[in-house]
Parts: sequence; structure tokens; C-alpha cells
Amino acid sequence: MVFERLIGLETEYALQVPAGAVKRAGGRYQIFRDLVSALRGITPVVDARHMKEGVFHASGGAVWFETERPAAGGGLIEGATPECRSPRQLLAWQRAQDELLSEAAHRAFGRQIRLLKNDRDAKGNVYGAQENYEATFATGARLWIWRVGLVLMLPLVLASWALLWLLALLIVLYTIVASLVYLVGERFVRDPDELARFLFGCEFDQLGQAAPTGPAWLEAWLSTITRVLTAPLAGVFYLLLWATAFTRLRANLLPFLISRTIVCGSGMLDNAGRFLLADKAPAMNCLTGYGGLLGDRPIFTFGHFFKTVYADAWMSPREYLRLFARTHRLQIALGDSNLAEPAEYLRIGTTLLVIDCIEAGEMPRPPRVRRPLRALRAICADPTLTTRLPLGDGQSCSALELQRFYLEACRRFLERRPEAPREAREVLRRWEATLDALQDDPESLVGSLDWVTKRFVLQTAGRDATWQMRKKIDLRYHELSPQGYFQQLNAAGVAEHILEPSEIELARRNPPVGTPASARGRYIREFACGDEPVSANWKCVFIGQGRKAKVIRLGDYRRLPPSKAPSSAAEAQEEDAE
Amino acid sequence: MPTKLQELTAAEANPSVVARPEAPSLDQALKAIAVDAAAAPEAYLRETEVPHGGE
Repeated sequence: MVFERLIGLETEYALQVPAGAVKRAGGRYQIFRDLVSALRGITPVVDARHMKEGVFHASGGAVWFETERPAAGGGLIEGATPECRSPRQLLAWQRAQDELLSEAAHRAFGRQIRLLKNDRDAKGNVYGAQENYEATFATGARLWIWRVGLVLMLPLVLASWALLWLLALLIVLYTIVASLVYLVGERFVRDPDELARFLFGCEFDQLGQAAPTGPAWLEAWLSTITRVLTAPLAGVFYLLLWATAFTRLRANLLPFLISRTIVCGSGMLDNAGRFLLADKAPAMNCLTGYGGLLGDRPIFTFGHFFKTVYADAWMSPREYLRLFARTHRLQIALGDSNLAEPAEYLRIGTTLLVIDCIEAGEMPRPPRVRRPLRALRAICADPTLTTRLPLGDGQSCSALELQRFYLEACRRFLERRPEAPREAREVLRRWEATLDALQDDPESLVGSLDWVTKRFVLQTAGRDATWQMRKKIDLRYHELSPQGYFQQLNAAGVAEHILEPSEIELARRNPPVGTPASARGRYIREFACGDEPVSANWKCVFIGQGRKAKVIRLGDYRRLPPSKAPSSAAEAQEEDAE
Repeated sequence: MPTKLQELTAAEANPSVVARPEAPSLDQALKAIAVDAAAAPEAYLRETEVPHGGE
């Protein structure tokens, strides 16, 4: 199997908001809502039926409000591409998403608020990109341990759900009591708006428009209480995941992932003024984890499994049964958001190829890198690419040598598969050419790799500048508006392109074929403007409301090759309507 | 084969080769970036903060 699994990207976008504009706009949550309203004017959009607030659009992808403490000023706009199958397809839909959101931001806010596709702000807050690859979760004994573990965990799961239901009940009770307190209190206090802000986090007439988590103090309490209530479940579930989830893939992928930084890092200026190859990598503090739950920044994220158990399955127990499946989504958090097309293409393409090779059992045992997180930081700190990484057998090697190990393994893998898609060989060819250029003449990759391009800009436009000016170059490089520095270099003809403009235009309007997104996107385009309410999630499209709602399950589209995918929504409806 | 950067540098040395008169040259783009980066950089760093970060 080469380039057949489902893949997707998630991107958290930062905002450039002038001082006071967040407050004037009504907070980041209101900015998200205004952005979505503008998006509706560009493409058909339906509400998401999901634990996070968001929408799905006609290209099959989604836009979420990533609620990281919104009442305390947090909250991010996140774009998720539709499920794709090839790197080129995914690159096209990622670029289409960047364009759609950037255009929506321009329509909604003019030049006031702009999007940045980066991974870390000047204060060191980390966010950004995540990659998803459909992969074999486990086989043999490990798969059975996983399944038995899920059964044995059920009492703990049920107890956690009961506590969460109780918490939900208390929140409803709080809302009623707070409303009564406000209605009585507003007659007696000097400033009723202040009372409303304390009780609800906003003024009374803004209810429904403000952040959905209430006042900052309540949000902080709920966040802490939820973590405490779910801690036993989180701990036990993590151990089960650590022992069973993607163990072979994790072991074989790790040296590849830490060394691919030299190809797809975005570059960063640190607080001491040193140039690092990657934005997000230096913040990684563990190999596996839930991703942010307890301040952890893992390379492999298990957060989506835990969310399924404590959030999705809580509302729909059927989701728990899906955990017993043999294939799941491998989520990788080590990787930067890219502006340069070749860098993004290689990030997806080489990883996909390596996963295919490992799952086929044809990856030779890779060199074991000692202290991988320390090695990752050493790679990031060395733009000369000469750092030697200590290996488990007492030898050492460079990141370039590690990449070449995987390149050669994938070359042999493809040589044994003449039927593999042509694109796999194109990825291999481009990968080798990039490693050669990194070794012989890195500056030839200006416009192709982000860290090389950003370093070039810092060494030319940022020469003799203060740290603040250089840091602005680091950040504004990622701005998606025409004023963004990468966009300015693109206008000057520096950026190398892989995609034709027509491919991005197609991806802005249509879902990718041969994946669940193809049906989702077509249903959204056909029914979003109809009389009946339509909503969607990653697994279903819902047309109508209540018990009479028509549910179109998208799972059947997972295995369809592009040639067999239904050609129209009407055709798909005939096949799927219940 | 010349790289993108080499092509642009050669084109700028010989202005008659520049094909798109409306597009800025690399040198112009870098100068524009340098000027913009010098304008209120602290404000830009503040305006792009992401309180609490993300996943």
C-alpha cells in the first residue's frame, strides 16, 4: 500500500490584532464568529456537530474555535483540512484553506485583523500544526491488550462520565442561580454591568455572543475541576495507550521525525537572538502525551483518544466502540506550519512514505538516537547541519545522515513496487535533491525551505537590526496577508511552487475525491442553503432535526478508490440515505 | 541549473531580463521588509501574542 491511507493537517492560526481591537471586536470568540460569517459569504458552510464549536465547509474541511481559556483572553482559530490521500492533494487543500481563511479575515476585518500561520509567539506560547495519518494502531497481542484494557476500564469510564454529568448539572444550576442573583441584584448595585461581568463574563445583553465558558474565574475553576475529576481515567488510559498505541511506528519514526526538522522547520529567532531551525521543536518536552493537558508537549499526541473517551463517548457511547478498531489516527505534533510549498509537501510526503515503508515491514531497524529530545534541540540549534548525535551503539551521526538512511530505505521499498503511484517517486526525487542541496549549497533552497528562506531574510533585511526588529521579521514572515514577508518574497518571484493555481482554485470549491470528505463536501454544497437545517461532523452529515433527521454515514467512503466514488451528491444520497 | 535566487539576482543585474514590470524585485522586497520591520516592532510582537497558546 503506497499513498492510500487517509491523511490530514490541523493548523492553529495566530491573529495580529491591534491593541484594544480584541475588546472592541467583542473578544476572540466574537472574532471567530465574524470570521465564520464572512466565510459563509465565500463558500457554503454548515454547523459542526462536535464537542468544539465550529463549522464544516463545502471543501470538506472544518474551522474550529480552539477554546484555550477564551474568557481569559485565549482561544484560537483552527483550520482542519478534509481527509486526503496523497501529499499533493493535501498540499492543495491546505493552501486552499489558508486562502479561504485569509480572504474571510480580510472581508470581516479589512486590514485590522490578520492571520499568521506560525507556531510560537514572541512570548513563547506554542500552538500551530498537527499532522494526522491513518495507521495500524496495534497487531497481535498488543491489539488484544488494548481491547481487553478498554473493557476493564469501563467502570472507571462510567464513573468519570457520572461525575461529568454531575458537573454539567451544577453548571446549569449555577446559570439559574446567577440569573436570579443578577435580576434581583441589578436593582440594588451601583453598576449592574460589573455584576453581570462577574457572574457571566460579559454584560447581560451580550449573553450568547460572549465566550461560551462564562467568566474567567469560573472557566479556571471548571478547567481545574475537570482535570481533577478525569485524572484517574487519564492516568490509566495513558498507560494503556503508551503500552499499545502505534508502538512499532513510534519506535521507527522517531529518528526520522527529529531529523526531518532540517527539511521542514520554519526557523525561529530565540530570546538570545540565536537562529533555530524550527519554531515548535524546541518546546517539545516528552515523546508521548495528551498534548497540553498537563503542560505536556509531546511528539506523538494521544489527546484525541482521551477526548473520545471523556467527551465524545460521554455524549454518544457508540464512539467508545470505535476505539476497538485496528486502525486509528496517528497524530504528530512535532512539525511547523510551513509557508514554502516544497517544505510542506516534503513534510507530508516523506512522512507518508516512511509510514508506508514501516507498515509494510520493510524499514530496516533505524539507528537509535540517545536522548531524542536533547538531540532534537541540538539539531535545531545548528544551521550548519554538522552536529553529531550520539547513538545507542556508541556511534554518532548527523541529521542529514539519518534522513539519508530513511531515504535509502524508501527507495528500496519503492523499487520493489513498480505499481506505486508516480507521485511517490516524485517525493523521493525531491527529497534526495533537497538533502543534496542542504549538504552542498543550502542557500539554493531560499524560497523552497522555510528556515533557509527566513535565515536569508534575517541576514539581509535584518542585518544590524535590533532583536525586536529581527523578531518582527521572524513573525511577520508567517502573515498570510500581502504584507506578510513570505508573501512579499513570493510577489518578487522567490518562492518555488509545486501546485498550479488551478489546483488550489479547485480545492477552494470542491472536496477531495475518494475520501469521506467527498460526500461531506457535496452534501454541504447541495443542502447548506436549503430549508432544512444541516450539520456535519467527521463521520456523518445530518439533514433535518430531531428523530426525523436523515443521517448520512461517511464511513463507507473510507475504502472507496477515487474511481469508484459517487460522482454526485444525489447518487451518494441514493446509496446512503437511511 | 540556476536556483530561483540565482535567476533573480542575474535578472536584477540585467534589468532588461525582468519579465514582470509590476512585480517588485528581490532587492526591493528585501528593502521594503527592512523598512517595515523597523516600524514599531514592539507593537507587532504584542499584537501577535496568543495568550495560553494551543494544542
